Amino acid sequence: MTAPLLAFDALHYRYPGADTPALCGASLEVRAGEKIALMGRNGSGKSTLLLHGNGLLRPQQGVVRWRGAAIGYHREALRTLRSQVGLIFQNPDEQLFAATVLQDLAFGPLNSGASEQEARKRAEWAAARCQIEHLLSQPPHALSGGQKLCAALAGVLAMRPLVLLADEVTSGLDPWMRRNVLSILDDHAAEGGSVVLSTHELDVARCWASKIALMEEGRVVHVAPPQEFFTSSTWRARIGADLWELSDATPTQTASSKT
Amino acid sequence: MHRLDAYAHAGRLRHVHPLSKLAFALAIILLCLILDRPQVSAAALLWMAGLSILWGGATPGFVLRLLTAEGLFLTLSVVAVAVQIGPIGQEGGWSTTITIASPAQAGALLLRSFACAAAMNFLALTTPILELVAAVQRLGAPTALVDATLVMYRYIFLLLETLMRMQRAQESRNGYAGLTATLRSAASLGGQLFALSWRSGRRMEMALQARGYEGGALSMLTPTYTAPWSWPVIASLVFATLLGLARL
Ligand SMILES: Nc1ncnc2c1ncn2[C@@H]1O[C@H](COP(=O)(O)OP(=O)(O)OP(=O)(O)O)[C@@H](O)[C@H]1O
Ligand SMILES: [Mg+2]
Repeated sequence: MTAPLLAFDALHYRYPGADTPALCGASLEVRAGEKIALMGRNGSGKSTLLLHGNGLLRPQQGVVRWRGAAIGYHREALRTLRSQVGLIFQNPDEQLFAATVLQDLAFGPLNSGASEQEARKRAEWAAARCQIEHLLSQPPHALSGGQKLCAALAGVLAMRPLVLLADEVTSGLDPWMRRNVLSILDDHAAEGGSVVLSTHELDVARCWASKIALMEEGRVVHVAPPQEFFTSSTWRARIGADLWELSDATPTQTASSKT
Repeated sequence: MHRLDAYAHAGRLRHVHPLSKLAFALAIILLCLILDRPQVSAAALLWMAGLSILWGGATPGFVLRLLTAEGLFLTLSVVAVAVQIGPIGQEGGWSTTITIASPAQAGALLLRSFACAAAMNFLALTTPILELVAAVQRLGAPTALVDATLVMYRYIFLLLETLMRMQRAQESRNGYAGLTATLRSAASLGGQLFALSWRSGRRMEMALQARGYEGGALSMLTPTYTAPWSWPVIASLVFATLLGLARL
């Protein structure tokens, strides 16, 4: 087994003023080429864990490692980390800020020290990959929800990160758009990068992911390939798959089988 | 505001340098003020509205609506300047004094104000405000101020969207049926909006940091502008008309 690129090691984190910790001993390893679906109920700590991967939150206990070394939290170290680990936020409105999509896509590369020309090239490359070339001169608020998401994704891809941490980016997309976004993530993994996608969508977890990591109450309780989760009745229940008939049964059959 | 912004981004004059459009609009305003002739003001008004529509790509209806809204405001201020109402003497009576010599003079004043408003509209309809701000920055305005404007602008849209969403949510639950309900809804809207925008502001900051922002000036590309050949021609034509009319 190859060494992990990014590793979360027994992280503890409690938000200021909160009664219960958001993370208590969460561990996860992310290797090159992996596509991990991060699952778990609302409030189980998925977003909080992802924020640690990019150094935005600092664990109160435990370590985040990049290529085996504990990450530092000073300016230089964070700059290197953030150009290698990209984070896409649950709500693209909070990520897009610039006057035009082009400016927004160039923001990350410029921050990591690219020249204007290089930044523009990378922005255009990322836009092409996310199929939003035609939107480059638009302001973010003129975009639809799905387009905003693609722009946010492109803004992170333009930094050419090795690891992509994506927080519920596929929820709220139509099936075509979702297919699109998942295939962008696929390409990223196929080129040796890795993806951690937090999601509540069982079909995404089952069909897209190479691994599922399940979080419960601030801990990652199980990491395994999807078929293990979907064949074992225990794990099926714990990811909530038994609440729905996920067989090929048509809706009417499901309804009648319950009566 | 959304529409204004959409026109600014879609118009044919988008690729003319923002500073050259700013200079053009300011020159028109100055000419109207200095020459101070009704026929110049009228010509400027027609030119500016016409250019906004034919060249900027705004619909006539929208340009008219903008002008009407501003016109209402302008008329009110002209009336305020022209008519003075005040108590007279010790008896406590009231009198109205007309400070402007004639209705014609008031008309000329109004026309001039309209022309200036139309010139500003032209600028607003053809130039995305953020590009204008960035161009002014390259002239030497303080970076911190410009960055703040850039982010604020984006933030205003976010705030408006949040406000609209929350208002709709309240309305759908009869939040605005009746006076008490309206007052209650409006009050909670204010409080919530503050909390929500504080939170989303905080998250926006985190999102900037996630892409390597370390405080200080925001990194931006220097935009390139290519003016169509017709731009200087039409601009000169406009100036020529105004100056010509002034000599009549
Ligand atoms: N900014 C915050 N301040 C205080 N508590 C927070 C904050 N953000 C999250 N929490 C708390 O931390 C815990 C974990 O939240 P987190 O957002 O990581 O969950 P999640 O798994 O991403 O949930 P979801 O599926 O709903 O997105 C929750 O109990 C939540 O209430
Ligand atoms: Mg979350």
